[in-house]
Amino acid sequence: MPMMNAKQYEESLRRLNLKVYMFGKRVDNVVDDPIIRPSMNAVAATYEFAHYPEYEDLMTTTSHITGKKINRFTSIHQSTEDLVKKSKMGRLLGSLTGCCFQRCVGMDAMNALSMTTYDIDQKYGTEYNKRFLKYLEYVQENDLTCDGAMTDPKGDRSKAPHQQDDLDMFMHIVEERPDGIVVAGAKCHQTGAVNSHEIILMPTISMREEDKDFAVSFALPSDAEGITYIMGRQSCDTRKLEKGMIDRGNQIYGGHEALVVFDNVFVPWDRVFMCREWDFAGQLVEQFASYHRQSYACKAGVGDVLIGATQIIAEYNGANKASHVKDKIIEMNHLNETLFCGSIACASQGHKEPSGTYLVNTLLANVCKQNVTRFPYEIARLAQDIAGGLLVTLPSEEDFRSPQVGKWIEKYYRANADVPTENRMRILRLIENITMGSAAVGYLTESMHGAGSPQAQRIMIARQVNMKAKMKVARKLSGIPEDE
Amino acid sequence: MSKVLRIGLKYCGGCSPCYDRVGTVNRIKEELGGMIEFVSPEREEAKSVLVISGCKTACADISLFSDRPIRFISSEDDASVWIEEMKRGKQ
Ligand SMILES: Cc1cc2nc3c(=O)[nH]c(=O)nc-3n(C[C@H](O)[C@H](O)[C@H](O)COP(=O)(O)OP(=O)(O)OC[C@H]3O[C@@H](n4cnc5c(N)ncnc54)[C@H](O)[C@@H]3O)c2cc1C
Ligand code: SF4
Repeated sequence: MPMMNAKQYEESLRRLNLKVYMFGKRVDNVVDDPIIRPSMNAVAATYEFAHYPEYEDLMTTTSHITGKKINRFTSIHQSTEDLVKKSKMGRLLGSLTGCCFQRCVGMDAMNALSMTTYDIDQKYGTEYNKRFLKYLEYVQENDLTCDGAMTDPKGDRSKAPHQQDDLDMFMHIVEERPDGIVVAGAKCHQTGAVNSHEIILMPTISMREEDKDFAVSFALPSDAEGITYIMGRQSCDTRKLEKGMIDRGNQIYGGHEALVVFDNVFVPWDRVFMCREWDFAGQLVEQFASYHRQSYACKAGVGDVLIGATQIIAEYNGANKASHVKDKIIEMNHLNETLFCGSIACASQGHKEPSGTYLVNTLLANVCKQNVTRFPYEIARLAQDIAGGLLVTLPSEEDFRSPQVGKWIEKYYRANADVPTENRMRILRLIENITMGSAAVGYLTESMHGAGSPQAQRIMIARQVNMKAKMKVARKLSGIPEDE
Repeated sequence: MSKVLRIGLKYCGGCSPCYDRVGTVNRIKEELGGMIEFVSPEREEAKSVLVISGCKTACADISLFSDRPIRFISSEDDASVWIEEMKRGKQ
């Protein structure tokens, strides 16, 4: 099935047998669980919109392996045009769902592996790239969602993997067998983990030779024996268990993260893409991180929704004509488009790697992500400024529906006479959802830490700018001799 | 009665369109109903293709039908001009 639709995707998830825990209990029916379901809807949108004529130009492309039309999320970038379309797809989906749609991490993992496996083979005469391409074809042919799993628990941050008191703090090889390897460890903060068919693991940091047992990359079906998922909580998550819908903010979509534990899990050789080549761990991390820093064009899409919601609440409140409100909305747009600029710039300045895969410009990708660690917070601050305090003091939908007090909410929380109070409540809940509710996980804290905390980008920026050239020209223009 | 003209319809992906692309196509269909029929641009019978771009970047992939006459629409105004041309019998 080269391109599933939303329904087929949902059915495919039902065939998985995932071991998922939430609130201390095993979740029997993951797909229909009310807390998880909105996140499933968001991934399903990546399947459904691929079939819409008005989106397919971004949502689909041609497989460089089979020549068939595929969902772009399973593709390997073959040109800078592909990279640019990836950025645009991220913005599009963010703007349609208002949340994290989870599927880009796996795409970024596959693109990074398409290069690193090739480069390892060049140096060591291994066959990782051949294996990887076979795996990729399987993913493309079945239109699978892959969780891109990089982040280890990392234990004591001041210690290398082999120095940790508990070696499971970093994913590692515990046994090598004729038919494969056995691994142990965990991956934290895994976006969309329980909505995925596959999980692709990568090391989390650069390694030294002493850490070679930790230099491991592989893919497994998400329901492989020995894998357990523990769902991350999100603020306001249990609102999804309430009777009404208004207090959820986003009526349709959401995201999720999970802790994924690997309790001595067997990986057959044909799914192993790195096995102790410690000198390539850093490259894989950097290439994955660069792609993922580009992927945050999605935040500009979510920003589109937040800006739209802010304009609406300004109009509902009757404040939209105030010059400072107009100016704040201009500022929100300015910041949001600046986010998009970074993603488009690093894509359009991409280049071809020896494997044939196109990689983004890594300096610009880091600049893009550094902006992402800041601007959504400022956009959110401005949205909260314009929304007013009701954003955090609004009574529940149940009170609004209450025969006793509903009339008071209706009366006192009506602003513009032409706008029903319920609409004002709905738009405030959406702003709450994005700026401090469950979607703030993706819009704010993921913007901060996802694809690496801010300092990780600053290190890369410092490493990649050509400081000598800047100094040379400054010397020349100010008349300082070269040798001083 | 004159023959219905089959025109290939191709959208850009719509990352940040400056107008409602689908709404505009619906307007075209309303105004030119009976005169034209939109079909997939990949179909042979589409002798020309209308590309609906969300903005002037017009980045839709047109490689599959680049041998046929292509008309780009990047705004509501572009669509209005094209509708008038079609009504006047210009193609
Ligand atoms: C919502 C969300 C979704 C995510 N999705 C995914 C996903 O799908 N897949 C995935 O693999 N990962 C994912 N991540 C993980 C993300 O990449 C990490 O959060 C990020 O790399 C930071 O790691 P950490 O959370 O362990 O924080 P820490 O590493 O503990 O960092 C906290 C702070 O300590 C500093 N610090 C840490 N170590 C050192 C050190 N040695 N020296 C100096 N300073 C240090 C950091 O700079 C930072 O300021 C996600 C994260 C979030 C929040
Ligand atoms: S034509 Fe404009 S709106 Fe459409 S996908 Fe390209 S850049 Fe985005």
